[in-house]
Amino acid sequence: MAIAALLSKKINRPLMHRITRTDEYGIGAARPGFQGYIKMGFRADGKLLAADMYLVQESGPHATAGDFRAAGNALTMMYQPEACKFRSVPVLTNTVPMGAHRGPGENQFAALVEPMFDKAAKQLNIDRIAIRRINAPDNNGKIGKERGPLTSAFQKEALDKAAEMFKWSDRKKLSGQKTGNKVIGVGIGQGYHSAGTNGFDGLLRITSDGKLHVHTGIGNLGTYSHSATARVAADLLNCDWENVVIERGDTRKGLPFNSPQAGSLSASTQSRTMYAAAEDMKAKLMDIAAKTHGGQPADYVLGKEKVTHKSDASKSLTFKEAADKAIALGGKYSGKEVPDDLNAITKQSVGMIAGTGLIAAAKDNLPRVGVTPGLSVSMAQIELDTETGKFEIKDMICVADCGTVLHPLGLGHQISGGNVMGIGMVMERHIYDPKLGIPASVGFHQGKLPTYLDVPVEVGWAAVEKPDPQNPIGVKGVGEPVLGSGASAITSAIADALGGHLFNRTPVTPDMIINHLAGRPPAHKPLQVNTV
Amino acid sequence: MIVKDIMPQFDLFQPTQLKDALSLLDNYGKDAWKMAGGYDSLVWFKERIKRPKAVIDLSGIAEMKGVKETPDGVEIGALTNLTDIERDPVIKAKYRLLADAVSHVASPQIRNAGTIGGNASQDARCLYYRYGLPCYRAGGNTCFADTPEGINREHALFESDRCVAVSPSDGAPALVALDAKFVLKSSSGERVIGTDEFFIGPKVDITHLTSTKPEEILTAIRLPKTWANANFYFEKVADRNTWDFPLVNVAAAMKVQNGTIQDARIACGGVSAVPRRLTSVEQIIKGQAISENLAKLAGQSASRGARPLNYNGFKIPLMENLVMRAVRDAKA
Repeated sequence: MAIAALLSKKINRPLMHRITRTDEYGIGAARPGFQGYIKMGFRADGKLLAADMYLVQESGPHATAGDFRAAGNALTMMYQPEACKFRSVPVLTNTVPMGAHRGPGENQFAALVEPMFDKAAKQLNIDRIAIRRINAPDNNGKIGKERGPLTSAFQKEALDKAAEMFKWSDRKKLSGQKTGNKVIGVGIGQGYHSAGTNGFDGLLRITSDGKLHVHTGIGNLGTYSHSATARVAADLLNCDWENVVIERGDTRKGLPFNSPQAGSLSASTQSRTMYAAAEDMKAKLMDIAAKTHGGQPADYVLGKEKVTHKSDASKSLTFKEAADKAIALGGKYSGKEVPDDLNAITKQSVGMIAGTGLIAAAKDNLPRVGVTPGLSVSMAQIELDTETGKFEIKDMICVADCGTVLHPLGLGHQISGGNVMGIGMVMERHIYDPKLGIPASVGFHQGKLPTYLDVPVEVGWAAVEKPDPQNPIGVKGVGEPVLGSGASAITSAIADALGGHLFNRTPVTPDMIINHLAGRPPAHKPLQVNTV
Repeated sequence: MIVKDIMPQFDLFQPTQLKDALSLLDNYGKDAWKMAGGYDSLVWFKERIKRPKAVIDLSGIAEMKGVKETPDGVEIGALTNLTDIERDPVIKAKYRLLADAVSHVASPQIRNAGTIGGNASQDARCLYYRYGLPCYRAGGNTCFADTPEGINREHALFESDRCVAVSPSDGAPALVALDAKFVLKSSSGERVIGTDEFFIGPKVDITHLTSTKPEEILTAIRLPKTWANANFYFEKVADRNTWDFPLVNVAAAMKVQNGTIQDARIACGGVSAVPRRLTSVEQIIKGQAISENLAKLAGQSASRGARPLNYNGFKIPLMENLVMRAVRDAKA
């Protein structure tokens, strides 16, 4: 992206930067692999008392990925061990550049470690949900070596809801059932990624036609988060969605300094900034109403696209009237003056739209203490063919601890899509010739993305629907964890189908399964990160 | 870095008559590239690895399309697309094995354009060869796959000779099992050859997977009556359930009477440079009643002589299991 932007700037014209999959291995970034050692000690009831993990990461030539660190944090967060030791060695390698992919570190970790909880459950003779539940974080959960706080965690509730939705008590009886050459495996996976931050700016504008313009710097990765989060402002200002104009995608429209659409941040972070800007807009509407009709701002309440005096309904001010008044009043109402604490980008953007309506611009100064965790639980049932090493995912569900549901359809797509990516993590091979330095996953043939025929017809989904107390709307992000829970539900189901055999890796491809079933040694060697 | 997604320049010819296509081949000789559905050709061109002077697009030659019944069986025009074969009533009724096999090729979109001639004639998918390295198959003097660190998970178990690439076709093993004949025409005449002569390994010609000569065009594939309405079995195992090449596939045609196998032809793809006919398995099962034990024996026999590389040993049990299933589960 930077190359395209620089070249475009140089020639002062739009520019399309087209690269091939081969080029991408030179200037893009692959997800780093790591090798690890983990030892876990459990109490008889399944509580994880101590964990010791050591990772060696393939970091590529530029040391640009901190996945190993995130994996360590995930260990402290997802299972809340009473004692934990974590060391890692990121190694510079003569491979393609590495970088953060979805759920960097946490998702590789989940896919590898979740099946080990099944192993522990089996040895302790306790239920696989129960061992996860006793270790799952709650609102008192801690993270990292500093044992920092969490804004909220409802993973136990997510496990309960998933168990009910998946009919776990019936489903677990299917584990290992054989029909001819087919054997059933059921798996549970959990995912975690920090999913929210704060400190960005919200920018709203009401114009003389009565429209509410939501200026947003949130991009669009196909999730339409810019619209989902804009609804927060529309709802808080009691504005019909039809009267909302979303200003996005072009800095000439005057866009504020917002969270990047990355790191599962958009929903939580942008809902906060929308809240901050909407509160500013509300205050200004009441100010103008008081200036127009007399009394104090507090005498007025927000109604349907207008503010009205609490005791005299004849004293009201519509959005349209407020916009005209704001233009006349100038100053902070029309954007001629801006709060000092806004980011320079926001100040510049407000300057671009100043005088065109009633403008609200505010920094999200709301308190937030601790990490905002996005959490999820996936469950899957597979049918594994013991003669071919292939498996079919017969059923899959996922429950997200994402706080208040901001946009049900959007959330459903996030959850289904993330789980499909998780399936891809289990199935997709990473082919690299170490001698010649050839990254060979250069086409869709070698880089085998899951297709419709590789995934379940439907991924059932639900949300815990418990609001995060540190977000004014209650929202937490959830984009990335569902990949990890999806992947780990599948690795757990494979291990279950094979009577507890752990591959301790991703991907798990048919050759590995059939080698195991045939009593052959695995083809990949120890410390071999890439598949063959 | 080389930009590898723009085709180099070539002269494009789109004849509508076979004789014109043959005439073009005579003119251009080895500099001509015969293109049918284009799904193999265009990738080569976009990767700028194959750089023909002239591309002869055969897709407009109507006489090379369609399925027709003949006194000896059926004749399938080499340009008949795979979807049409999959849906053809005669093929479905009498030669279901081929319909099954082509239904597993790539994806529906590719089957709509990919042809049976192209599918049978497609080139190897060895990643080193496709990467444009100067390997034996590309005319060089080394194999990058058959080395201690070479990526050879998808490569050959049998009959390797310097090159260890495999036939990636799903249609080809079915054509072997059905004892297909290949009609090759040139301006000097026509020859009709069997699968054992059409498909060739590196010992015969290390740079080609078929014996089609530069001046020849594969115009039709004939399926004899011999194997019509036999018991058939096709199965493909690939990493992904669509749009993928086989790790191993199997095609079987068996004549069964009262539970006893009278005759059989079985072939596997993905294990050698040619679709491998399993004559020893055929010999073992002929005259035998179908049973679990016979199927197991057949499977174990299938892999005899296999010489796995570093990473493709899994193909041995996979091949054994697929052949076992073919013998056990072939249906009329």
